[in-house]
Amino acid sequence: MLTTYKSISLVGLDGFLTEVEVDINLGGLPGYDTVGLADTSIKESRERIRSAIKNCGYKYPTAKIIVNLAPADIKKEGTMFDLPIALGILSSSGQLKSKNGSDYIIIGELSLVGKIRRLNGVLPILISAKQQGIKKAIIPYDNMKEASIIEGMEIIAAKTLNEVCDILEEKNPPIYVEKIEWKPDNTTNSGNDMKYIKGQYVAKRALEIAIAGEHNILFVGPPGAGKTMLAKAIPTIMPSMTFDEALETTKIHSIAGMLNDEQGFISLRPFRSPHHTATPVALVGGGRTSKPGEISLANNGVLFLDELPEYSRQVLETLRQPLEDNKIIVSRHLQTVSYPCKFVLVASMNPCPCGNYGSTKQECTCTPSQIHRYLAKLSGPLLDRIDIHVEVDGVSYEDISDKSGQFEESSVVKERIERAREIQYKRYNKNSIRCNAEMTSPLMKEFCKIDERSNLMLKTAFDKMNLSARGYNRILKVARTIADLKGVENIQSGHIAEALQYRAIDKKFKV
Amino acid sequence: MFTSEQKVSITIALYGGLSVKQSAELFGAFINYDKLWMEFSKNESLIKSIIGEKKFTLLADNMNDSIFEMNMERLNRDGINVVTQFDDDYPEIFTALPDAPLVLFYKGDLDIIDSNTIAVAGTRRYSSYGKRVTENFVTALTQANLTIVTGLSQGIETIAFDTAIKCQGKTISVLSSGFYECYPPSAKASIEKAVNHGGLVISEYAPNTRLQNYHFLERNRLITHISQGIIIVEAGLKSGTMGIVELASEYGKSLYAVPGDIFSSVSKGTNQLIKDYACVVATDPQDIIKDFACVYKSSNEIVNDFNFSLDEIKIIKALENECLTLNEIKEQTDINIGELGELLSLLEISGIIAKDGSGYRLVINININDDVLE
Repeated sequence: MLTTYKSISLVGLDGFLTEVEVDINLGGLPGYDTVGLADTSIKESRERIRSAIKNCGYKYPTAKIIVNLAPADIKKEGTMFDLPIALGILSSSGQLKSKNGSDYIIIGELSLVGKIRRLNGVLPILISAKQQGIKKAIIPYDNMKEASIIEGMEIIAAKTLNEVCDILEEKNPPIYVEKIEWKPDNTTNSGNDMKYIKGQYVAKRALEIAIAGEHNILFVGPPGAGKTMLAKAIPTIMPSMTFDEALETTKIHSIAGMLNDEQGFISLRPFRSPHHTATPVALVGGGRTSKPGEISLANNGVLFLDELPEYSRQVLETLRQPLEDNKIIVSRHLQTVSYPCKFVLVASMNPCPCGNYGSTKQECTCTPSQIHRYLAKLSGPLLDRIDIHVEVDGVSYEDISDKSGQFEESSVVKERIERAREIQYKRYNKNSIRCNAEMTSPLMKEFCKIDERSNLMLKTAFDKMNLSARGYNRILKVARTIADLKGVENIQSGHIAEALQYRAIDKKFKV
Repeated sequence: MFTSEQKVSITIALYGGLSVKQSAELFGAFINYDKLWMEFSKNESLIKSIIGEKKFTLLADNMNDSIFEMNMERLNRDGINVVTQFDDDYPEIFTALPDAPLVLFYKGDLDIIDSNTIAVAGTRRYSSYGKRVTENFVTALTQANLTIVTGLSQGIETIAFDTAIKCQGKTISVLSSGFYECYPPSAKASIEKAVNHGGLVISEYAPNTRLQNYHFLERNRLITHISQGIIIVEAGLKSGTMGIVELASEYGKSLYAVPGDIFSSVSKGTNQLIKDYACVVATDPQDIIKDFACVYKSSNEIVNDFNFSLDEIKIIKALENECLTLNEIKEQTDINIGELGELLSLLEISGIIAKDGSGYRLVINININDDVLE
């Protein structure tokens, strides 16, 4: 006898409907076969299913069992088919009389005793199910949290195989997943509050501008100046997530298997800081099954690269295209997947191997060629994509010991940033971008108009300050954000003048 | 048209690498230079005895009109001029030199070699103090119409060169390698700049000669010889710059040293010179300029006609005596950080302050009454 259940399989972030057909053939030798381009984790499911069926008090049929995963020409992976296959075997062998089993999409991994285990990627699965017009779903109980934000679907959370059988036979009332009203998470580590960073006015201001306009930012300074501390303060000033952003980010984390019971849903902007030994694949994603990398995990948040020149050249160059396109296409043997990666790149570095180049206080002991080699690791095209370069100077004893100094709290800064973001969202409403850093040249022509006086000033600045022509657009974009922070409609010369301050690398190292 | 002696000298310069003594002997052995050019291979035994077999073969292969013309065409195309000891326009100052180069390759205006020249020498690992001194001195010297001579090395010499170009001054640069193999690589762009600003770049090496370590010494002898005076800005105790010092006393050139920080390793050399009374102590460009008896336009003029706002005056006051970073200025003036950035950019654009390493400093002296702040 043949039975069919519905399930969903994932390719990247998109799910496609998969029919799980189970046929039991009483004639012939007993056996078990899975067809439909299933990977090892699916083929292994046979042993889990056999034990689970037996341990739940059912009988495993002694017959030829054929499982087909249709469409049969797309590669499938993952353990979400354990549950539908087990149900198929029970139905085909007449032990389960389900009335409306094919209304549901069913996903779940089985343990040997018949318990349903948690899965990765439940959120993207449910979202694509909803898009394909499916109204009902059965998911593992442990994945309840991430499912709780899906609206307009009847989602049942089940703990065991028996429970699912009872639900399908309508013996027991099911446990429905309760819809939870989503709200952004604003909890941050208060120990990282901006008010604890003494001095560093410029760096803090630059950080504010960077986060307000999603500009990439580079801190340059001697060791111990507080670059990492500044980076750690970023989560405390990042604007709250919108629902769509949270959904997008959670999908990626769900696939990467980075959600747990407590954190069913990502409502706080991610802050990723991979170590400088990271490989290109770890950063942009890949592997046999095209898993998302650090840049995608940092989607809608911050990617912090400490000691930028220590990363391998290859790793740094792989960042160029994602920084431009805000998405990464990972192509591998099994599949080609596109992941979003809209992040703010925050990087820090020393100005030279010893760290004191350009310092007014300490002598640099590096030779010119050493400095040149150190800086040459950062290619021009990469630096071009970093709008703000800011120098962080060493902290003096007075700064550390001064207890009286009152500094701004993160919440105040965050408020200003959110206001500036609001202005940007409104302005770019029709332009399919969200913030100043993403402006393209035609948009810049429209939104970055400058008057004659500012134009003249920019021209003089280029000659006097030794700026490169490439810097022009970046200065305008940063000036746009400064104007937004002040709530001013048009860019004024003062905004440009301030933006000129954030070009440390251009000025200092272009010898 | 080229005379035979020119052709021989240029070919030797391009291929031979003969020592001064060898080339003098070679030319001495022939009364008729045409014969030397035309019948080079025929006088094999005589020439071999002077320059050795290896060099003879190399030269014999290339001593003919077609190769010579081809080489000249190439040099012409790349804008490299050649002058030999047999030419009228060979710089006179070199003729006195016992080891004067047989041939000079150059770009730009050869005549400025006879102008008032002053060399700037210093360490490659300069401090922000050295940079400031160099910029300050070179600006003043250029405005006093002195030609700045450098070897285009990294560090102080490059700063001196760049500053001179910025002030529209004339420069003479002596390369330590051939024109095609510039060292340091950044010199390539500098050569263009120098020529465009009416300067001169010379090299005694064939254009495709790579840098050798002894070239620095040879170059230093040309620099010292061209210059009427030499300023040492920052130099370590045992450094190439100190080599120039020895040459300067040998050739009797006036030597100026700018005192430096007694704790800084790159100032040890200059301070030692001062201790040994081996030089004139220069603490102001005027100390040098007065020796040249030129008209001096002061760059340190006191500016009163800027219309500063109160905040700008605060910034200028803070920078009066020292170089401060943005954070330090913020702490001293207590101006809102956004506005401070704005003001600093504007002051930098109007040329009142300049970026120095991570900090800012005043470029011109400004007299501000203390009453304004009250």
